[in-house]
Parts: sequence; C-alpha cells; structure tokens
Amino acid sequence: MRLAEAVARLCISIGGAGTIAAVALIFVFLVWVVVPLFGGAGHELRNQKTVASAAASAPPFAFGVDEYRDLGFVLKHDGTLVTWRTDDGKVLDTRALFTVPRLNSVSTRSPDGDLAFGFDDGSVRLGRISFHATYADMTSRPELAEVTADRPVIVAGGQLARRTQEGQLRLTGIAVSIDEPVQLGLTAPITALDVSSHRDTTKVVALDARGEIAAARIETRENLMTGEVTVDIRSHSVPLRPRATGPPTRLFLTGPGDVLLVTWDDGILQRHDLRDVEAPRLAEEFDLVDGEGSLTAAAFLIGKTTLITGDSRGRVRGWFGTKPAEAETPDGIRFVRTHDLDAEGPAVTALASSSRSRVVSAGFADGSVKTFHVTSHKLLIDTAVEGGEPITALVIAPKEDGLMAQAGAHVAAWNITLEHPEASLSALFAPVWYEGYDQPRHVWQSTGGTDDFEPKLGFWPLIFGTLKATFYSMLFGAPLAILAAIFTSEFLHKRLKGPLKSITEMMASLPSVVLGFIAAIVIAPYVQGLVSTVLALFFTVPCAFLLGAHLWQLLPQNAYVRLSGAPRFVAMGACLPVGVLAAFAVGPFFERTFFDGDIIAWLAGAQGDSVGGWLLLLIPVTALLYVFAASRFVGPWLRSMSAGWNRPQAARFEFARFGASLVLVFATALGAAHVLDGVGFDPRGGVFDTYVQRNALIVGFVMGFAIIPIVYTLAEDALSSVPAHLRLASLGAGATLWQTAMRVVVPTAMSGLFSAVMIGLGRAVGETMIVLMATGNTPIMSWSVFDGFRTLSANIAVELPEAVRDSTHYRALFLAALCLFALTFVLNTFAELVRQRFRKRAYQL
Amino acid sequence: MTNTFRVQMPHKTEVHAGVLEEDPVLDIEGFQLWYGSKQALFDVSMRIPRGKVTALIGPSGCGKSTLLRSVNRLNDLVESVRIEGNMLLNEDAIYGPGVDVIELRKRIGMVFQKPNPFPMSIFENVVYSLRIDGERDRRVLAESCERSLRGAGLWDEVKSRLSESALQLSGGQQQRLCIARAIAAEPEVLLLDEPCSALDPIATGRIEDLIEELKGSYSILMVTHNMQQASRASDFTAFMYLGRIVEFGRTNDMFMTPHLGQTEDYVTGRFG
Repeated sequence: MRLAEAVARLCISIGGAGTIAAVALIFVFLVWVVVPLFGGAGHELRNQKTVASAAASAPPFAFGVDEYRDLGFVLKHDGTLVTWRTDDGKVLDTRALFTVPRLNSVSTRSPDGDLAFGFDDGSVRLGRISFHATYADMTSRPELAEVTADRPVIVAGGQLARRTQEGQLRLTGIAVSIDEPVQLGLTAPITALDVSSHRDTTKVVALDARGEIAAARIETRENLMTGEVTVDIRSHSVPLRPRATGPPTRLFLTGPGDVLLVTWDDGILQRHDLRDVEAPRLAEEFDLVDGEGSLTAAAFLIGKTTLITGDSRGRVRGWFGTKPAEAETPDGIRFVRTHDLDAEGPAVTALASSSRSRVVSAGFADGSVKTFHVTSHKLLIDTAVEGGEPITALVIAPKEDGLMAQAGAHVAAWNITLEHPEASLSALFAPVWYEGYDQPRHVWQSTGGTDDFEPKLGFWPLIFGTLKATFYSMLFGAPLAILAAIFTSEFLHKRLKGPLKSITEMMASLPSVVLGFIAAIVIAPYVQGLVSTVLALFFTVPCAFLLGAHLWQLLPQNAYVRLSGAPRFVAMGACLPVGVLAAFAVGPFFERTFFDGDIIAWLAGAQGDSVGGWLLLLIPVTALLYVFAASRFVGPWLRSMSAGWNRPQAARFEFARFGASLVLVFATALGAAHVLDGVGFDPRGGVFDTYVQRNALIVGFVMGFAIIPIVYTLAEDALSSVPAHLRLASLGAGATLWQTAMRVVVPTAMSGLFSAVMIGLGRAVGETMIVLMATGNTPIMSWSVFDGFRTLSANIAVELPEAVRDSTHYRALFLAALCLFALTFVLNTFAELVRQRFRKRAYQL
Repeated sequence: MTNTFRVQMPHKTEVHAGVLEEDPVLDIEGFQLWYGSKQALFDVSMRIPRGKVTALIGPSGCGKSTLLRSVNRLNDLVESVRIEGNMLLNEDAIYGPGVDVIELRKRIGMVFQKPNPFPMSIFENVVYSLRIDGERDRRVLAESCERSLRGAGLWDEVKSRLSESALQLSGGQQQRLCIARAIAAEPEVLLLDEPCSALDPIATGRIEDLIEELKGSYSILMVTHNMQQASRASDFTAFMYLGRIVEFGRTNDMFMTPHLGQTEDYVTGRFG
C-alpha cells in the first residue's frame, strides 16, 4: 500500500515536472532557432599582402576575386590585367589586354563578369573578365602529382591548382574575352560608360571627354539556318542639360536599361528617361550631397535599381526611383534618398556591392571598411586595413564569405560570415523602405519569382491579421457565448440546462478543419450571394427579439403570468426565424435604396454615394447613444410620469416608445449619414473595402462558432459558481431575474467571465485551420470586414514546408511561432491570474 | 418516569387565547406545501400580528424556513414545489393566478441565515431595492441609505466608508447591513431566517437589541433555533413540529405555561 502510494507520487511528480519541462523546452527550442537571426556578422582578417605590380594610386578599372577566394585580379589604367594568389600575394599572371587604342574607362563589373571598355579614340568594346574553375584527376597530368596534403596549392600552367577537402583537384584561372570594337558616334576619349543586357538586347551608354553622351541599343541575332550572327547597333545622342561645372564624370544605366543616371563630381545627378532610346529626355535633376562636399563613389546594388553613393564627407546613402502620386517629373518617377547608411566621417573612396544580396561595402580615406545591409541599414562589418592608407578598391567575394580591399600596394582579405544580414528588430517590426515602394511600409512577402527579389519580412501584417481575426471572431462569438451563458445559468429551466450545456460543449469537438472547410466552400460563396441580407440580419434579429418582448408585455396580466413558462420560451425561439425572414425582405430593399442595387459593386467603389455605408455604421452607434440617453435623461422623467399607470397602459406606452425609438434611431442615422456624405467622407477604403469572397466576416462567423463552446462553458461555470444566497437575497428584495443577473450575478462573476473571454481570445489567436481556409491569406493591413488577411499561425502553416532549413525565412517563421507562443502564453496567464483572483473572491462570499 | 417523550402527532394547532384578537399583517390560511411527493407543510394556519415580533421555533427540518420562504414565494424557485391554501399580506393574496411575484417581494423584506451582502459598496447594498425600482435621484438614495443604516444601528460605524466594499465588514456588521438593506424598501413584513446562527455571541446580542428596536415600526417573523433568543426577543412564539404549527401564543405563555406537553418538552430542552 505504502509502495503503491510512493510509486503514484513519483509518477505524478514526474508527469508534472515533465509537462513543465516540455513546454519550457519548446520555448527554449524556438528561442534557440530564432536568436541567430539577430546575431551580428563575423569577420577576421585573413591576410594583408603587398602586391606591388597591382599597386595603383587611383582606383583601378576593375578589381575582383574568384568564387573560392584563391585568386584576385586588378585591371590597371595602363590596360594590364594582373592576377595574383590571395594566400601569398605572388603574381600568377600579367597580361596587357589593350595597348592601342588606349583604355580610358571601364564599366562596373556585373555579377557574371560582363564589362564594357571605353577607349581614347571613342570606341567601345564589350567583353568579360571571369574566373573559370575546372576539376581534374590528380593523375591526369604529371605536374599535378606534386599536390600533397602538406602542400595543397601549386601553380600549374598559369592556373592555380588546389586540393579540395574532398580530395579533388580544382584548377582556377582567369578568362578574358573581348568583342570587336563598336563605334557609338563619339570621337573624344570615353571617360565613363555602362552596359545593361536584357535577353538579346544590350544597351550601352558612353560619355566622352567633351561631355557628349551616346546611348546605343545593340541587338545580336543569330540566323538559325546559317549560324550567321548579325549585330545591329543603333546609337543616339543623349542631350544633357548643360552645367557650368564641366562634363559629368559617371554614368549608370539601370537593370532594364531604361533609366540613365549621369553624375557630376559636385553631387548633381541628372536622370534621363531612356525607355525610348531614340528620344531620350531629361526626367529630373537633383543634388546627391546636399551642396556639401563632392561625390566620390557610386555603385549600383544588385538588380541595378538602387544607387549607393559615397561623398567626401563620408556619407553613404541609397537612392531609388519611386512613383509617388504627386511626382512632378515627366515620367511620374521621382528618385528619393531612401537609405542613410553612414554618418559623416572620412571621405568614401570605394564602394562595392554584393552580387547575391543587398549588401554593400564602403572603403574610406582612413583605410576603414564598413559593410552594410542596405534595406535593414544594419552595419555588418566595421574594420580597417593595417597602415591606414585610403582604400582604392573593394570587392565582396561572390559567395559573400570574404571581403578584399586594395589600399596602395596592399591587398587585405577578410573572411566574413553574413548570417541573416537582412534581419534586425527594426527590419522585422518597423516599417521598411523596400526598393520600388514610395514610402517605408510593413510588408510580408517572403518569396518571389526572380533572383534579385528581396524577401520582405515585416511582421506587422501577420500580427495585424492575427489581431483582426481575433477581433472579428470575438466581436461575433464573445457576446453570443456570454449571453448564452447568462441565459442558461440564470433563466433556463434547470432540466434543460444540463443537455444544452453538453450540446454546446460538443460543438467544441468539431475539428476546426471541418469548420474551415465549411466556411470556405459553403458559407463564403453563400454569403457573397446574400451580402445585403447577411448585413441586415445584424439589425433585424435583435429588433425581432425586442419587438417580441414588447408584444409579450401587451398580454393581459392573467395570460402573462400563465404563459410565463414553456410558451414564453417557444415564443422567444420564434423570434429568430422572424428576424431572419425580415432580413430577407429588408436586405434587398436597402440594397436597392442605398447601394444602387448591388452592394458588392458599391463596395468596390464603382457606384453610389457613401450614405448607405454610413447608415450601416451609424445605426448601431445611434442605437447605443439612444439607449444611453434614454436611460439617463428620459428615464427618470418617464418614471415619475408613469408612476400612476397600470400595467396595460405602461406596456402600450413602452410599445409605442419602442416603435418611435426605432424610427428615431433610423432617422438620426440617416441624417448623420447624409451630413457625412455631404462633407465628403467615405467609409469605403477604411471599414469597408472591395468585397473579397473569403473575408473577415466569414472568419468572424466561423471562428466565432469555434470559440463559443469554450467561452460559453467557462462563462457558465463562472456564473453558476456565484453563491445561491446572493441570488436569493436579490430575488427576495423584489428584483427580477434579469435585474438579479445584471446587477448581482454578472458583476460577481465578472472576473470569471473576463477570463472566459481571455481563454477564447487565446484560442482565436492560435487558431490555424479556419483562418487558413476561410481567408485569402493575403498579408495586408486593412481593417475592412470584407478583406482577407493572414495570421501568424496560418503563415507558419503555409510557408514552413517551403522554407529552407536555417535560412532567414526559416528562422523568421520560428520567430512567428515564438510571437504566437508569447501571445497565447501571455493571454492565458493573464486569464489564469484573473481566475485565481476570482476564485479567492468567490471563496470569501 | 415522566421522562418519556410525548411525541404523538397533534392534529390541530393549539392557539392561545388573545392571539386571534391581534391585528394580523400576514394571514396564513390552511397552507400546505409539497416538495415533489413529500409534504413539508401540513395545513398551516396562523395570523402574524402587526408591529410585533413573532418567533418560529422547532427542531431542525420541521419546516420553519420553508414556511418563511413561502411567505415571499422564494420557494417558487425550487423545482416541483406544489402548494395548497393561501396567505394574505394585508389582505392581498400572496398566491393566486394574477399575483405579480416581483411586486409582492418588494413588500416583504428578508434576512438570511448567513450574512449575504452583495459584492458592491455598502451604499449600493443598502439602496439595492431602490435601484432595482429605477431610482436614480442621488438625494433620495442617500436619505434612504442613512435612514436604513440608522435603523439597523450601523450608521455610526460605516458612515465614513459608505463607498467601500461591504465584504470588508465583520460578520455581525454584514448581517446588520442585510437588515438595513431589507428595511430600506420599507417592507410590510420582515422575515428573519435564523439571523444570528452564523454570528458570535456579541454580534448576536446586538442583532437582538436591534430586533427589539425595530419592533413597533416593523412586523417581524423570525425563525430561530435558540430558545433564549426567542424568549428574549419575541412577543409571540409559534412551535413547529413535523410541518405543523403545534402551538402558538404569547412568548411568555409559551415558555412559562405551554398548553401542550410536547411544547414544554421542547422549550425546556428535553427534546429537539
């Protein structure tokens, strides 16, 4: 016996501790996955070597590193290309690419190595400088046998052979291909040029020393029959708005090649619309440096849409074109400064953007190097070259695992790790200015169709969706559940109470996926066909019950007392179908009168004035105001007046008053609606918006249905646990059941009712299947009842299967889970605390 | 040898001379009550004198509280209650097809065994009956509150903290608050259901003094278990046994010279 007790005690302790441990473990696991999201980037200096032959005082034409960070190259101003080993700084290869005509300028290198070269005779050549890596068997070539585990790197035939960790041999070398010269109609030396390719069309812009700009479209067509390649070049001159300061110095052509940015050293930028190459036009001109200092560096981010600028005062800024409604430019686009990455300091001398994400590195005149994530403004790396010489060139390794900077004759290389550079508290929870948006916004858009798509991980639309779902379902479910609980606990015959409670609790066992399925497939299309009727229901059903109550009062005293049992109950039940039938009559009538016959078209803003919408909103408000005012001001006066009346008189008067108040409320609401419409306010776009089939109204219905059982059960328990002697005291004092319920039972059980609602809230917050199926899962922030939304839980369910393990997206989804966990945890804890207090108080009574 | 209990079933109430001459506030006529098939009250007939304190005594389960709750029809709330006979409150029928129970209850005050103040302020507790009548005039409420609290001898103790929770009062104070709440409605009859059974002797003493003071202004029908209390506080006493009123007379007579041996056995503590 004693043994059994000990075993039982042990089992119970283990079970209890295990439960707590399991919950804590889930929490710890979520935190463990989420925390790296906010971890900083890491960096360490790998080496700093002197590469004398690559040395240059001015920034070189091109500077690069291969994917494996074995080789670096620099294209010097004299046209020589120097390749060296990054591990020891020894030069591997030097070749003179161009001698005559002399190379005068080079475009920014694209991620796959494409370049445009400008020469001092005005000609332009396209080409590419890239690395190629091949894998070879160690035994295939005799000299490769020298590679051993101790000496994993050798130079063989102008290539670098490295033994990989898998035991293979990787041969890396530099590859250069240069196309034939192209004349764009410029004769002076080309001082700047840029190139953008889109399918078979390449757009090239070039600037010559006299300040002339030519824009050319180069189309390459291959004859499929003969294999003959024809190159079609159409060149046009771009007229600049003349400036006294001389010719511009930099040219930038955006990704699709439809916008040309021309900058002067004093920071002025002219943007030219190049959508039609034959007729370029100036779109706008503005200052990149606010009149202070000069522009010293500029580079496109990946996608060639956002321009990063650095100036002599050390400011690093991001700019891109937006389409605000009030743009005064001819093409409707305005370039705006969207990112301030670094405050004032030493002059910016070099900029390099990553070829795989929106990360940019800036080198400064004091030898420091900073790396930022542009969208999140996160400073990822802050370091410096030894010696403090100005940075002349900078490159982020293709795999974002390294950074290389040239300062004078030194080349410094860092190993870097950029884990989740786009994630930060402010990027996840504050409005973020994403490329192409006209202002900072909360956006959740985790995946996209293109490579340079930027995941937008703003959590607010999801939190908003969760709150919206909760709000509308509580708006619908909580009053119903609480009123039902009051009814069963205080008014219903004891014999009916048991079965009714069990049936309601059985509702809770309905799987939410079934509810969601019914909501999406049955209710949503049905409601769409009957929007006006469904809206009318909210008015006709309460009115039917009120009307029934007033009619009941008109019964003669004897009948009233005699019928107060089951017949009254039946009559009450009959009010519901009456209300529903009335809605079928009233709804379409209102639709014809106020919404031009089609409420869905009205919601879309296609027709009608805003009176109907205001009426919908104002009727409940005026009704509440009326009830308040009537009980406050008219009530006492009425009481003194009706003191001498008998029952039938009072009942008739009340009935008349009910009718009059209905008319009054409607008339007041209509009047106010006309006034608001006249003033010009329109509820569409706010509370009402274009009707979407799966919307918050549907979720409100169905999720309300899902939370009713739990709220009802807990509320009923709270009400039933109010001591009977309080009820007796109230009834004994001559209070009606309703007065007893409202004045004594409900206030006493208030904390219990509150905690019931909170538990319901917790359920609504975490509910997944219903919102997943019955909303459009659109992560938008709109309060409209007729719009969809996406909740945290539905978002996890939708996206987790496609999230790459340990990616930012994956961790962000875990953060969503953590938010959800925290939200429900806080709600439930709060509810439990209130409940504890309530129990204590109930014990006192 | 006379120790054997005289427990034969009486058939008719022994009513002392003079009781029937009193002006009745409440007239109970042949009242019978069943809980389902179990009869709890048998042919109860008695007239409760106006402005006096009438005590109902008797052993547990004899139907005292049932009778009391029948007066303000709180028994209606119990499942399957059936009654016969009637009661008249100042000549108005309490039971009948056209009787509005709510209106009736407003005319009858009731204080329960256990103090049951509402979980609201002292003030709101006292003026509860006025509130449910829809009274909003602050002055009227305040006057009624003070009058009732004075009437219940609680005014001086609570006048400075009327807005505090009634649940903070001591048990005796709570019970006096309940009395104040009952008399605030100016009831025609006040029902006290063992008002002191949950209180300590000092608080009990105060309630008894209060009953003494209320006498005259209110007609009181009080159930008690306590012989001393009945003898001290009441003018008339009715002895109930097994659902019947056995004997009903002036308290002095009931305790000093009961007509029936059964009553004598009970009041002297030989059975009960």
